[in-house]
Amino acid sequence: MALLQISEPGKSTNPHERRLAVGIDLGTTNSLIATVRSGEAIVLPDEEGRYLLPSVVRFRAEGSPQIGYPALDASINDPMNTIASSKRMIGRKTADIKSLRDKLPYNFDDESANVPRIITADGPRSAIEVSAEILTALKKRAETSLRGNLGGVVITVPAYFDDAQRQATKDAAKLAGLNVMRLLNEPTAAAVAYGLDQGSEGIYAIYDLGGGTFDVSILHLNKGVFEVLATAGDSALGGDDMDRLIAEWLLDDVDDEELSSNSQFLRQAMVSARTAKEALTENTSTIVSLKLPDGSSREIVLDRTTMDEIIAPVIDKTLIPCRRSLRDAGLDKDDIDGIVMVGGSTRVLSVKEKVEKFFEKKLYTDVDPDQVVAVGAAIQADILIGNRSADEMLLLDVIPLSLGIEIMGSMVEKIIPRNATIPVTRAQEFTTYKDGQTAMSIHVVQGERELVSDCRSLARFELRGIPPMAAGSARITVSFKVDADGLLSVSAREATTGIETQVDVKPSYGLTDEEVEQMLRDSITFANDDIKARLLAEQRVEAERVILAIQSALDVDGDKFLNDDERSELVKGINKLKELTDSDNAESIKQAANDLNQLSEVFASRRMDASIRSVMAGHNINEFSE
Amino acid sequence: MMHTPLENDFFDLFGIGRTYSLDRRLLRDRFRELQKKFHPDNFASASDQERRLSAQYAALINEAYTTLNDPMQRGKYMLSLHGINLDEEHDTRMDPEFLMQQIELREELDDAQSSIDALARLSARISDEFSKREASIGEILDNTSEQESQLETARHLVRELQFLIRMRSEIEDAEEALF
Repeated sequence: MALLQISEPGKSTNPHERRLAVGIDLGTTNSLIATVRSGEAIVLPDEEGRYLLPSVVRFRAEGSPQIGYPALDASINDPMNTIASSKRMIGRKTADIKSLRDKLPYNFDDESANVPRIITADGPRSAIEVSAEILTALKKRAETSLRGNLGGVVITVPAYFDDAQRQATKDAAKLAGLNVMRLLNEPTAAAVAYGLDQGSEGIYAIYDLGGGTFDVSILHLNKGVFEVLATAGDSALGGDDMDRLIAEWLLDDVDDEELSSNSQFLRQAMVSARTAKEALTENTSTIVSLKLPDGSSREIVLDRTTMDEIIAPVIDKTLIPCRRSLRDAGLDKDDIDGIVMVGGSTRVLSVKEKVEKFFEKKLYTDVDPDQVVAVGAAIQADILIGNRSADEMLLLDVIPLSLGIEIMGSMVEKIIPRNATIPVTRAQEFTTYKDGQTAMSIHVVQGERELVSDCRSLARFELRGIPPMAAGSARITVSFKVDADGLLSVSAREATTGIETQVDVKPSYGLTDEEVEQMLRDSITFANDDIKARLLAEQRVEAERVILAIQSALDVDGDKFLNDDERSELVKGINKLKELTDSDNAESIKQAANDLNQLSEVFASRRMDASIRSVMAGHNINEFSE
Repeated sequence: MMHTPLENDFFDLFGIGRTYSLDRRLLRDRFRELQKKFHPDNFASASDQERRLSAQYAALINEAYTTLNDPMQRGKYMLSLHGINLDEEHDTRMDPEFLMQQIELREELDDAQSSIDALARLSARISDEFSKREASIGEILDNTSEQESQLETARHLVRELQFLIRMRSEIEDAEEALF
């Protein structure tokens, strides 16, 4: 084992020391942050010893936003400025939010805006900014408790999040100044927390019902490999929906029509509903007291049987994705070895009963369903930052929804099917439909339906400069590339001329890079920060990362794959970057780091080549000896 | 796109023989072994170039595995190694006997729409038809002295598998609608 190194006092961080990495569960109702300390994953509490951070932010006319419990406490008296469940809105376009709107009390600004914003006392705020505030609060918690800067984070997202929702989550992290090493699917994170603890092998279903999202993933666990076979879900279904149904039932008794449009009253009814739901996991009956706006209050008795009937539609709705995930995995219920229950809403007794009845298998509920996702994310973060060997564990995840492009007749041609293991690259050829057509508009969509209008529009771009030809003779290859975060990039290439257009898919209604930059500048969080200093610091960290990566590769394999000239070129590049790192010019550091990366291309591909050849050679030997 | 020796043959990548009938457990083991080495998670702190390459390799390994693990795609892929491509859009010729069977199966599906039992029976029949063709394809492709005409037969059989897969998916849709 390598000796631990300690840096000289006052020197910048020694790259070899153990780096701080955390896992963040950015939940609809509550968020958590966890890390691995002395080989054990722990959830970090706030100063008052509380693990959960309510995912609620209150924007005020004066002063900085309130986050967590203070905001939650204010939510009844100040509902319009207190934003809860921002996860339900993140990465969604105005129309989608509108369909949720009757369930949300907020006022939105410009209807046609790409990113819907809620009007607050502190100006319009998007769901991305709300999530960024929550992430910032968690970051502060971790940096205080771990006494250092975070090297990298893993943020969990519902497996069923589409490209736009993932991208928006990443944008929120960028606003919060976090280095996202990976977006990890929540059910997979939960499986990691369970699997590593118990060394389980077999096929498991992860049933994850949170406050506002539902996922089910079927995983095959074998010798540290977590292979997701299929995933399905509903990114707008969760405990919130149960609360709403219960609140509606409670309000059935109150016939005053004015009340039903009183947002403060509605918010309070939702809170009472949730309290009652939680009480009924312990008791068979509870008394709900509903405060009316006139100051009087009313007491309503709710028993468990009645509640089970009220919330049954929500639970039944989760069984549809359960069926679909089994089907997509090509499995029967009999093939499943156990069900891992994740998310606060799985505490509801009738959820457990119905899931157990559906799968006819044992439920695993021993890890706190609120904490299990953050714990799994922390374990993955520890591996990615390099504190622990990746040999121990490998996560193979899938994309939840098919990706395709629009073809003639507003139809969708699927290019990557749902449940394809990521990273994945697929290409397909298309052609022109008119004589002399010189441009082609490419519309990228995500979803399972055949009509474009039924799928989610992700991006549009144009490929220009196609030489005029007869209809059907041009050969345009469209390539889709989905990385290990589940994020898509698309490129298109015309074969005869080699004209290429490349876009990293930014959702049509998402934020542009410029908007993210601008928000960063405007954001309260960084009002006192010197943006320049932050950018410089980021470039320095990046430069150090590049130097370290290439230097350690050189130490191991430099002699094997490079001649003296090649090696000294690379060393020169490293030295140049090292020198520049001490300068104050972020731009030139960035340039030198890019140059060094380019310079290392040959070295990198020789190493990888040799590596894959050795694996293949190993197989051939095995075959002969068998 | 990539200058590695692997692009030629997915079988080489997994170190298994180039046969249609294959040991799927061995294939899965090899797949995992390769991903344990090349998945981007192993390169989180490597240079940008190595990270880029690892994503490419991992995507290729995934594609190779998906292709070889699926009987229809494996057949299609092996035929492509023989220079035979399945042009799905333009080629509508089919064995008349299979066409008749296709029509018959469709009619059965229409009649079975509202009955779980009837759908299950139909599903079992599709599986049966599927396995039969899988076996025949194996016989042709794994026969070292295969003739061109036999490859043509294999091509038809793979296309029939494609039809059966679509049928199966429609049956599942009908089943889902009943719940």
